[in-house]
Amino acid sequence: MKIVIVGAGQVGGTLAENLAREYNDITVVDINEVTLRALQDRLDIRTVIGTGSHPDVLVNAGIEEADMLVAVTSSDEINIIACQVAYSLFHTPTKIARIRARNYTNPKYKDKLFNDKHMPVDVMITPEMVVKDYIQKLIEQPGALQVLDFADGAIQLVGLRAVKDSPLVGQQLRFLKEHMPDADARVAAVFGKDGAIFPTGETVIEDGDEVFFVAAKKNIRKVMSELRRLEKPYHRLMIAGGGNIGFSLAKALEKDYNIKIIEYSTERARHLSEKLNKSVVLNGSATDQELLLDENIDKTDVFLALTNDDEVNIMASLLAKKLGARKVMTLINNPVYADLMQGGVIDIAISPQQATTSSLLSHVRQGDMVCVHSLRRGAAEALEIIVHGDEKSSKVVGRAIGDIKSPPGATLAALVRNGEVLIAHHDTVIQTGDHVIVFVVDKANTKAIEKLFAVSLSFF
Amino acid sequence: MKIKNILTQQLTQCGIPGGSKKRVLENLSTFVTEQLGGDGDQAENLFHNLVARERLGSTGIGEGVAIPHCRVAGFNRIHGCLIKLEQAIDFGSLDDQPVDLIFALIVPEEQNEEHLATLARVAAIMQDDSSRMSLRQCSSSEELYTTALQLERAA
Repeated sequence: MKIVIVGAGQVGGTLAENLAREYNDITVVDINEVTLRALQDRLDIRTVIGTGSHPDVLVNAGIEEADMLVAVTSSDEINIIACQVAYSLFHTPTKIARIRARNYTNPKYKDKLFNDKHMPVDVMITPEMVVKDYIQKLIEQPGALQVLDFADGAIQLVGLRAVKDSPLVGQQLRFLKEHMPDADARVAAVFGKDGAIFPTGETVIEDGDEVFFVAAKKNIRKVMSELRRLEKPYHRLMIAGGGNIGFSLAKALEKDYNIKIIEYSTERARHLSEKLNKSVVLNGSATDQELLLDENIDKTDVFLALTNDDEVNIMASLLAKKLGARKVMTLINNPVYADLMQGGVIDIAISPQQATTSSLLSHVRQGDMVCVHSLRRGAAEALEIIVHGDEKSSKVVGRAIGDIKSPPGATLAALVRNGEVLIAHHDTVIQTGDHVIVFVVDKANTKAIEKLFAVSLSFF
Repeated sequence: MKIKNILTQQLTQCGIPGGSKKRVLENLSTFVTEQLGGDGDQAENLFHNLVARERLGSTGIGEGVAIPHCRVAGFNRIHGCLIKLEQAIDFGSLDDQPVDLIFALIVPEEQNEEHLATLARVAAIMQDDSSRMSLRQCSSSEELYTTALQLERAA
């Protein structure tokens, strides 16, 4: 695919890196020559210096040939204009813009503003909101390493670490069904000491394995209890950093949780206390031991370090854990730090880029993808695909899952049919219009999944 | 329906610049609607539908051939458009080979059976090694058109 990315900041840079690795033809546009040069040294991409909303600059970047424009500069307005220019002058099929101002995305205005008659933005992304949603789901499912929604939240994919002395650990997977006859679930992948294990009925889950399973949202806790001692729901949260992510998270959770939010800037802290109702806003430093102790860090269920500084987040998290916080979740931009910290003192390292890239991948993949989630630092993927065609033009329609030759390392894990969740078994027959949830252990096999679901020539 | 009933000299073009799949489908949409007396909106629609169809699965059938097709409102019969590109382009084909021969089919919205037979007919001709060779040897649009009609007679 030919893709023009406008904006070589953190979002644009990571996206370019992820997409370039997949044999896409990428051109990045930015006004900053130094940033571009740094990208080009690392990646096999083309770069163009200039303002990404100017038609000439876009032409230089190859917009006439491009299948997609992704405008992710720090300016909402440049991003929107770039999409407008791409649409009006170059018929670019897919136009994605990063839009941060909540006022533009307010439901009151959004649909009237953003359509082909007015501002032709096909997909809007707000990285801060993506990250906020991501964290919110982790808070709502204690003990999970990752929680992903499919079919508007009807199905969830949960990743967790199996712990010994729980019912299913040391047992073959087929016992899952015997244990829970009425809570249907499917283990999609197991990552053990020796790498990915393709799960079958005979697979035995060991202590410490990372297990991914899908189930209807209402059954998630039941299934989790089979793999590790169920954790008590969280009540007390302490958030370090009252930026966009910290603020919107507090706003979303404050009616159900006790929230304390630490903000360094006095001005911002004042703003937060005006905008938040129940949350307690503290003006101070997240690495201030006295402050944390005074605010009962030892009785805190989750400490969330969400400032825009990796080092501060990591140090604050280490401190909070040492002072007795039950769980710490830490926003870490630098992937090297994230790898270094995850699973040690820090319970969950959250990579904002990975969450954001995920939300864009569905538009790069071939097929009618509702969403694509990138997992395990981008190595694995989970996809929700809408099935098209009939028995003649599709390789999956009218066939039972057991009879479909799916590529190695891929699991067709669940279906959603007319809003109803069906966990996949070998005799489940796929129909046109179904949403299929597919787990791919190694992203290299995603291509084969695209081909499996692609319609043949005779489809009109 | 026979090739001679869907293809005209006007809709046969030899030596069109390639660029990219997007560019080719875009040019093709504008070209076809202009030749058939349609307007800009119709071209836009055609392009949109062709792109949407490709997204569900490439119509690149291998050996450098693609048969993009879709339904579009505002046409009253099936139209074919045969193009030989100057440079081959990536089309996401099954065999990953770049495409230089394109036989597009534009089908009215209410068609139900006939277009499938037409598609099968076009595919059969384009899948034949010697047919592709004779089409590739053409150096003008006129030659491309007469060759296409001859191939059907021979088939």
